[in-house]
Amino acid sequence: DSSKPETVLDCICIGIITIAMAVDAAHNDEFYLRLYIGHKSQRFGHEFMEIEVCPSGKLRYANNSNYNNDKIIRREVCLGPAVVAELKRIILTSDITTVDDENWGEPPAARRQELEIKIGNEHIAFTCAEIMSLADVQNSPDPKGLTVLYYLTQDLKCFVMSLINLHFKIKPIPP
Amino acid sequence: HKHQHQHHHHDTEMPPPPPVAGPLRSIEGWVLFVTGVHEEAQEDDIRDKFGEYGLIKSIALNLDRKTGQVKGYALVEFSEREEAQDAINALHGTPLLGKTIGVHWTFCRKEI
Repeated sequence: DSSKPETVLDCICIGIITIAMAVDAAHNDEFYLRLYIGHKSQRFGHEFMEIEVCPSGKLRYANNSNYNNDKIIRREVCLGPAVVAELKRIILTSDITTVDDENWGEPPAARRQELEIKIGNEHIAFTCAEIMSLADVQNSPDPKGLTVLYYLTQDLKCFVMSLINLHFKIKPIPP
Repeated sequence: HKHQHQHHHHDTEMPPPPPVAGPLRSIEGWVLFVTGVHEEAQEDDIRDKFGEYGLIKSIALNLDRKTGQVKGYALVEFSEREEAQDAINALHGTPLLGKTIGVHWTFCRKEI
């Protein structure tokens, strides 16, 4: 095996390179996620759900729906590293980093969703009209990209709702 | 009511679960986070494996919204910390339907 270190100098060099790579990875390892889905109407006011995962691993959840008599539900809990790693895996395997919103246009202020992700060297921010179902995206300017966004949003919501429901044993109604 | 412990083959290449800043109890028990769950796993597969370590209060086995198969993770809740810790010790790095699972604490007391 020609890659095995043969001298003390080899070991020192490998050690230095390894440390440098680890520091680099640590700086690029900052993870941030924010998902907002909401609509504003005269009848029900501002109904929304917002999820945030901070670089520290803290999960923040807020939900305001007309079913709660306009009292915003807010919850916070620190996630273990394995959970954050799985969130990253779900995001990376969704192909969201290949999506391009160049042709999407400006979404309505009254009915929108926002997804912001910082992962590795990528920083993604997408805003679009609230996607209620796949039928919504078929007539859009970018059905393929919006489909990726739709499925990732669903998977993230499902994940976070399970975490919140199990930790707090509440059953909020997502808008 | 503990059954006899099965002998589990541990994947020795799999690193132990990273230490957390103290696992955090959830409102009714202790929630474990299971990774590497096989896409065809069913709730009963989880229940059979984990039920050996205590009474399971809740299981969440979420599906991939696109494929309808298991997304790859599960949440398992035990009443007692010792039961959850026993499950981590016994099951982390062992196979479930031929695929190696990781078993971790879900929530922690301090930010990482």
